[in-house]
Amino acid sequence: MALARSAVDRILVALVLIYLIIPVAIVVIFAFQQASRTGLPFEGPSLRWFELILKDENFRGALTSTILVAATSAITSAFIAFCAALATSRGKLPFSGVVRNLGLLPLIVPPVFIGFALLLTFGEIGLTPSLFTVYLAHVLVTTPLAWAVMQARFNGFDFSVEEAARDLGAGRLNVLRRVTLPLTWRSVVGATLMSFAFSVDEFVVTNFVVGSEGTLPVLVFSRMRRSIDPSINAIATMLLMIVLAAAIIAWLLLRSGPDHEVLENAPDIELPIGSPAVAGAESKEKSVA
Amino acid sequence: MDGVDLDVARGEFLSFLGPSGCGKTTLLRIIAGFESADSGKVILAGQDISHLPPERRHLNMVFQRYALFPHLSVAENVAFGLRLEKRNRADVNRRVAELLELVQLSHCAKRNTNQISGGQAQRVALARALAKNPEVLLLDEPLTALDRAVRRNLQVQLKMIQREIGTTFIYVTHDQEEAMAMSSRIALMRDGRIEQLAEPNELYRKPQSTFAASFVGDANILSCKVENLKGTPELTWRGSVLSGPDLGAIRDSGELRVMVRPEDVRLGPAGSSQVPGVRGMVVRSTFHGFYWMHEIVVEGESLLAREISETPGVVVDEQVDIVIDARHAALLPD
Repeated sequence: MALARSAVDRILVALVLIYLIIPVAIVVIFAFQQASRTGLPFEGPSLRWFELILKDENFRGALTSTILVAATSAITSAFIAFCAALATSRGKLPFSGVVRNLGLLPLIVPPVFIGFALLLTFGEIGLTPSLFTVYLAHVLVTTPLAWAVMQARFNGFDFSVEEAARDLGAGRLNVLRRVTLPLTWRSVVGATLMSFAFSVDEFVVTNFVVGSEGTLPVLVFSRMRRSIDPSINAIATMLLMIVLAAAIIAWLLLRSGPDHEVLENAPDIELPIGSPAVAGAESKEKSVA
Repeated sequence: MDGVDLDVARGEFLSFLGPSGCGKTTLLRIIAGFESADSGKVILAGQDISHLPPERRHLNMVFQRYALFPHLSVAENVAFGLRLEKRNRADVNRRVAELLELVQLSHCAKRNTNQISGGQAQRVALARALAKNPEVLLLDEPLTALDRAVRRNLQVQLKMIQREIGTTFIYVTHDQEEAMAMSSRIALMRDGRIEQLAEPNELYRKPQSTFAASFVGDANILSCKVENLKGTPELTWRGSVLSGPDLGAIRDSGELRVMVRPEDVRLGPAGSSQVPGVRGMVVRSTFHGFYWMHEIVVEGESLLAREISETPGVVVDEQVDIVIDARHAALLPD
């Protein structure tokens, strides 16, 4: 019975995994197709579609735009999130709890709504759609992610180390440079990479605010309207690689996490002062040192 | 905080003692510059430092939970303040070695802060705070997080170090034994005010309020009467005369609260005392290693008596005569 149940469990898990992986696998496999259709039978492998898109001006332009927008918006989001988390966690601001949750709000607003709202807003204030509007939109949608990462880091951060640093003569900048950042840089980089990964394949909001220079997801979408050939698979595969790389690095950084933070000191085994055992041990250790 | 006015002498070991929430830590943080007072001044060596940020005040602090920099080694922690001063490397290293020697942690210099024990961590914090030779060292309940045995050991070390370097220590604690053992003076605090500022033995012997009497050590607070029968005023408790405390200007008959320490309460079997005493019943006796603490009830009023002895002279449920040695009794004005 137990065996049967565990067998059923395994099959179910396998099916779910297959369901999750197959679409991804199809895209990636047919990116290496020799023939100019994205279906069976598979012929190849071949890199011809990768070669093709790498020579394609449109693709290269879109790739550059994507990286540019993703990098700048990710850095901006992480910066905003870092400052906000620092300010709200130190606990000296009124309404810091409210502010903390407000920053996460864009996560639950539907992207279509955000995209449409931004389109209207940019129109009202006279911003013509361009990479800059895409950048602004991406800052908006990635900030909550970075926000969540940074809040998690500063949640339980022992701010007495900042006070100790100031007490020892460090001005605010030195505290940041010598104490706060060294203790939180993993999360800062992690938040940046997560925002980057999110920005790279953001399509819904982008599509509302994009100008003549599109990003990769926009390019994929517009090409698909003409015809589907393996070059789209190749673009999608490269997109996947970029996102995956960023996400994996972020995950590694955040997993090893605040390794220095929790100070769990070993129990004291010292005997009262002046006891011969301690005096002997101390002098012995000293002479070794 | 309310009307705190305090002078600390150079080289003094002053403690702020009081229950949690009495404002002792706030007062310390005002001195350090982490909090600002609505009014009033902090003056260090003749200079008003009230408006200086913490990093520009020439005093340093030891925090309750160590607050060591977890990304730096023990030696780097100690060097932190010195490095900020841009002193040359050899200078810094020499000073760090000297300080680690002082707190007996030379062998831990290269360790991470999570590779040392709590007691060692607090010694690192002490060395770090002393590195820049502060005029005053502020210690915010530095031993509270430690085990009892380590705490005792560090109390002694702290006191020795303070004597050796002669720096002024301002020490915050809620532990009256700790304050008594280490301080040259104690500022007893309550509700943001200084209740009494005195040397430890004076605080113990001459508390100026019921709060002071009961917070520091064990105390019996007796409701006494001043009676003026024979021309000179006499202090009586339950009809028996307490001779000793100077009544000063108190002349008229009236109620008065008097503090008597348990060691000044003598017990004997009923009917044994020559002086007419007060009779009570022993309800509880506990052994504390070198003394017994007896709790006696006299008509509903509870009284503590300390008997320094290995075997108790009285037993529970026994009727006893109580004689109070009032030479050290203190009159409480409130």
